[in-house]
Amino acid sequence: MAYFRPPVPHESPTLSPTGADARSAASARIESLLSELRAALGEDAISTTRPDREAVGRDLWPRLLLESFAGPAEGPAAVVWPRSAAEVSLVVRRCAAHGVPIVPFGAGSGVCGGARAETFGIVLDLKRMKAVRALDPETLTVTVEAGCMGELFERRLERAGLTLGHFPSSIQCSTVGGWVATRSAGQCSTRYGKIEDMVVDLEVVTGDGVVRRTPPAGAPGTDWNGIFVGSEGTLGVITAATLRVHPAPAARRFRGWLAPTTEAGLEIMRRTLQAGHRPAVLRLYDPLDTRMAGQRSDEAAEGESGGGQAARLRAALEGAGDADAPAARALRALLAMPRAVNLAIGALPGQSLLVTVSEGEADEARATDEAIAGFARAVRARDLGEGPGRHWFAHRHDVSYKQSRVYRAGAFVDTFEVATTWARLPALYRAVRRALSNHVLVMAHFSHAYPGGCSIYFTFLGSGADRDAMLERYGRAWKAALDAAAGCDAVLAHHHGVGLSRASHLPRAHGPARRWYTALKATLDPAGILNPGKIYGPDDPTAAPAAGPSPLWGGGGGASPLGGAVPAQRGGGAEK
Amino acid sequence: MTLRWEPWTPTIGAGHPDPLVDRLTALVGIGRVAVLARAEGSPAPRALVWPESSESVQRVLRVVREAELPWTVVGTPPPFDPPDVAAGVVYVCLERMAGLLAVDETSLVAQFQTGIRWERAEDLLSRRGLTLGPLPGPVRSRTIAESIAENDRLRPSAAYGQLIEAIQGVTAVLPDGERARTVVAPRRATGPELTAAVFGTRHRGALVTEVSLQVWRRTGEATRRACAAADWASAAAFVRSCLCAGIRPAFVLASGRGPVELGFEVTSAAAAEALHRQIQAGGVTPRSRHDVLDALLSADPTEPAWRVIAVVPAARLSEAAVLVPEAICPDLGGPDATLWARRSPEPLVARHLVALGARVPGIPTGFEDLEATFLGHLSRRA
Ligand SMILES: Cc1cc2nc3c(=O)[nH]c(=O)nc-3n(C[C@H](O)[C@H](O)[C@H](O)COP(=O)(O)OP(=O)(O)OC[C@H]3O[C@@H](n4cnc5c(N)ncnc54)[C@H](O)[C@@H]3O)c2cc1C
Repeated sequence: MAYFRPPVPHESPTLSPTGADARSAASARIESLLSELRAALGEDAISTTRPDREAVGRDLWPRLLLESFAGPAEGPAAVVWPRSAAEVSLVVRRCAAHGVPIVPFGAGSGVCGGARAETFGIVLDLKRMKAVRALDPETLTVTVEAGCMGELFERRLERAGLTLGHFPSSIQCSTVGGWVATRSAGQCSTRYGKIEDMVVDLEVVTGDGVVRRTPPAGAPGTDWNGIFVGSEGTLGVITAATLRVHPAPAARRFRGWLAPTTEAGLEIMRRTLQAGHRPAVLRLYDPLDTRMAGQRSDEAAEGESGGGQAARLRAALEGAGDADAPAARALRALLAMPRAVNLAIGALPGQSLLVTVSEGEADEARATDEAIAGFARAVRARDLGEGPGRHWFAHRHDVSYKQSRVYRAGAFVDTFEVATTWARLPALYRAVRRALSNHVLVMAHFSHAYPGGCSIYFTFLGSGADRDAMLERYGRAWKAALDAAAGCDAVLAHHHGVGLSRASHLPRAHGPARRWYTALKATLDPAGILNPGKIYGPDDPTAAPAAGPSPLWGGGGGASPLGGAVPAQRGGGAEK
Repeated sequence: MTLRWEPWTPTIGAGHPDPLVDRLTALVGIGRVAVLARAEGSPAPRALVWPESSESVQRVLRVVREAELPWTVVGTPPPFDPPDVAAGVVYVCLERMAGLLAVDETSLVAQFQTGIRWERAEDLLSRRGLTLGPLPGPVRSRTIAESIAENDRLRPSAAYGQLIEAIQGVTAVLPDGERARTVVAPRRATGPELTAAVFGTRHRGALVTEVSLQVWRRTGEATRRACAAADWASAAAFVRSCLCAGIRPAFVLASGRGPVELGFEVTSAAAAEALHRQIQAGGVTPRSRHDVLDALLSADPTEPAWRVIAVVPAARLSEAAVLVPEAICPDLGGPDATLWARRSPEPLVARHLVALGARVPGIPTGFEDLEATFLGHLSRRA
C-alpha cells in the first residue's frame, strides 16, 4: 500500500531536549518526578505503558493523523489521571519544580494539535474528574468537573428536564474541559451562545499550582473567565466549571429554504439575527455543499459539468472504502485535479440550501420560524418544507464519521472555520475558496450567526501519490487558506482553537496585542510548563520557562506546523 | 485664588519653564497641553494633555515613559481639590477623542473614539436610525473609556447584552506607546480573549482609544410594564419564566422591601404582548408603573450614581436583599444577581454579603496578586 510507508521522522515539531546529555538529564528528571507522583497519588494514577501513552499522544489534527500512517507517535513520557483539583495542583507543583511540560487532555477530539503530547513531558488526562458536583434547576446552573464527557453530561441534564444547549458534532467524544479550553461552539449556538456565553465561573489550577475560582461572569473588574476560556491549556488546567443551563425546549420547528444565491441566503440570516431572533440553527450551504447535502436545483441537470462533478464526488465519497475500491479510485482521480474540478463547481447555479431549526416555547418557536419565512420570501427563496431541517437534525452527528472513509480511500479531509462581519463575509468566502482551490477540493457552509457577522466553515479534501505528497499538499492548502483569511482581516479560528495548526499565523493576526497574552502567560505559568509551544508556536518566547529549573527542552527545529518554512510574518499586523 | 488648567501657548523664543510641556505641545499641537496655573509652591501635576487621535496618544505615552512619569487617563480635566489631582502626574484627557469614525450599516457596527460619552454616542447613532439599546442612568454620562477602565457591568440587558460586550474590536495603546488592534468580528475567538486581559485594569494594561460597537436598528417605541411579586424568590422565578418563554426584555428592574416591584422595558410589540400575557397568567400582581425603572431609564445624570455593590449567587438573593434594603437589582433571573445602590455598604454588611458568597467590589478576589504581576510584565518593554 502506497499510503503506509515505513516510519519517517515527525514533521510537526516537538519541543525536545537537544543533545544526548540533555536527553538523559531530562529522562532522569522525569523518572524522579514520576516516583514522587506515584508515592503521592498511587500506582494506578500513572501509566508509562506504550498503549496508554499512545492513546493520549495526539488529538485528531489531520496532519498528525497523516503522519501516524508511518506508525504511531512516541507519546508522552507518562499519562497521569488525577481525581481531584488537589491532585491536579500537586502534579502541577511537582512538574513546575522539575521543569517538566504538562499537556492537559480531555478526550483528544481537538482538530488543531492542541493536545499533542511532548515526548519529554506528561499528559494530564482529566477523565477521572467527571462528577456533576451540583445541579440547581431553580437558578438554572450546574457545576461539573472538566473530564465529564459531553454526551453523558447532556443526558444527565436531560433527565432533569434541562439542556446546556451546547451540541458540538463531537459531543460523543469531547469533554466539558475541552469545550471551555478551546472556546467551542455547538450546533445550536445561535440560540444558546458559544461555550463562553455559558460559563458562570471556573475552577482552575494555574501554573503555580494554586487552585483558583474565577469571579462570576458579570462582576466588574478583570474578566478572568474570558482569559481562561480558549486558552487551550496554556494558562491553567480547568478542573471544573459552573455553567448556565436551560429548560429543554418544549417545541421545535424545522424548515428548509432554497435561496437563489448564496448571497440571498446570507441576507436571510443577517436580517433574522439583526431583527433580534435567535433560531437554534441557521445553516446555509454553498452550492457544492448544497449538492453534498443532497439538495439540487431543478434546473441543474446532472449532465452539466459542475453538477456532474458534484454528483461524481458525492457518489465517490459514499462508496469510498478501501483504497482499491472503484469509488476510492474515482475520489482520488477527482482530487488529483482540484483546480479544474473547483472551476467547474464554481460554475454551478448558485442555489444554496438554508436549514433552519427554531425552538423554545411553542409561541417563540412559531414566531421565529415565521420571521425567517418572511425574510426568505423577500429574497424569493423556495420553501422546501420540514424535510431538510428534520433530515439534518436526525443526521447531525453523522458527518464526522464519514471522514475515516476518506482516509481509507487514500485521501484527506479537514475543515477551516473563520469569522468576520457581514459586510466582509462574501469577500472572505471568495478569497479563502480561491486560495484553497489550487490545492484541494473545497466546499463551505455558513453557521454560527450573530447580529454583526457570521462564521464560515470550509471543508476541503485532497489527495497525493503517497503520504509525503499528501502532507505537502495539506501544508500548502493550510498556508494558502490562512494567508487568505489573514489578508481579509478575519478571525482565524472561530471555534476549533489554534493549537499548532494556526500557530504560525497568530503573531501576524494579533500583532502587538499578542503582548497581552505573553504577559498573561508569564503571570499564570511562570515555569512555562503548561502546554508549551501551543497557540503561538514552538518558537514563541513564552514557550521557554521564564523561571524555575533550567529548560528541559530546546527549540522546535525550525519546521512549520504547516510543513515548509515558517512564514516570516511576525509583527506583520503591527501598526507602528 | 482659584486654580485652573491653563492651556500653554508657546511664543517664539520663549519656552515653557518645564521642557516637558514644550515637548508635549510639539507632539499634540498648540493649545492641547495645559498646566496648572498659579500653583507655585503646591505639589502640582506636571501637565494635562488633550490628544485627538490614537497616534497622538502613542506619541504622548512614549514621551511620558521616556521621562519615567506616572500618567492617568481622565474623561474631563480633573478638579483641583486635593486629592483629585496628584503631584507629578501627566493627565491624558480623552475629551477631544469623542468622534464617530465609521459606520458599517450592513453589519451594524459603529466605530467610536473612546472619549465619547455613551449618551452622545447614542445621539449620533439615532440620527442614522440606529441605537445602542437602553442606557440606564449610571452609564449615560460615562465615557466608553471609563466603562472599559472598570469593565463596568451597568447595562445588563437580556435583549442587547452588556454595553461592554457590544465591543467587537479595539485599537489600544500599550504603556510603552506601541499600538495594538484586535480584529473586528462578532466573536474574537482566536485563542484566549485578548481584550479580557486589559478591560477592567483602569487603563494600566492598555489605553483603549477606539472601539467598534455592535449597534441596532431603531424599531418602534419602547414599552414599559410593571408588576409585583410576593418576595424576592417569586420575583426571580417570574423573571426566569419570562426568559424561558423567550421574552428578552431590554431592561428589567427589581426593587422593594416588602413585595418586590418589577419593571420591564421591551422594544417590540410581540414582546410587549407576550409579557402582558405572562403577567396576566398569575403569580404576580399587575402594576401601572415602576418609578425607579422610569427614573433610571430617563435619568437625570446629575443624580448620585447607582453602582454595583455586590454580585450575589441567585440562590442567596433574598438574604442579601435584607442586608441592603435600599438596593435595586437589574439582572434578576440569571445565575448571579447584581445589587446596585447609591453608596457602598458598611464594612459589616459587606462582610455578611461575602459570607453569602457575594462578590463585593473592594473585597479581595484572590486574583489581585496575578493582576499586579500581569501589569508588571506588560509594562516591561517587549
Ligand atoms: C468529528 C469532530 C467534530 C467536531 N465538531 C466540533 C463542533 O461542532 N464544535 C466545536 O467547537 N468543536 C468541534 N470539534 C473539535 C473538538 O471536538 C473540540 O475542540 C472540543 O472542544 C475538544 O474537546 P476535548 O475534550 O476532546 O479536548 P482535547 O482535544 O483533549 O483538548 C483540546 C485542547 O484543550 C486543552 N484542554 C483539554 N482539557 C483541558 C482542561 N481541562 N484544562 C485545560 N486545557 C484543556 C488541551 O490541552 C488542548 O489544547 C470536532 C472534532 C471532531 C473530531
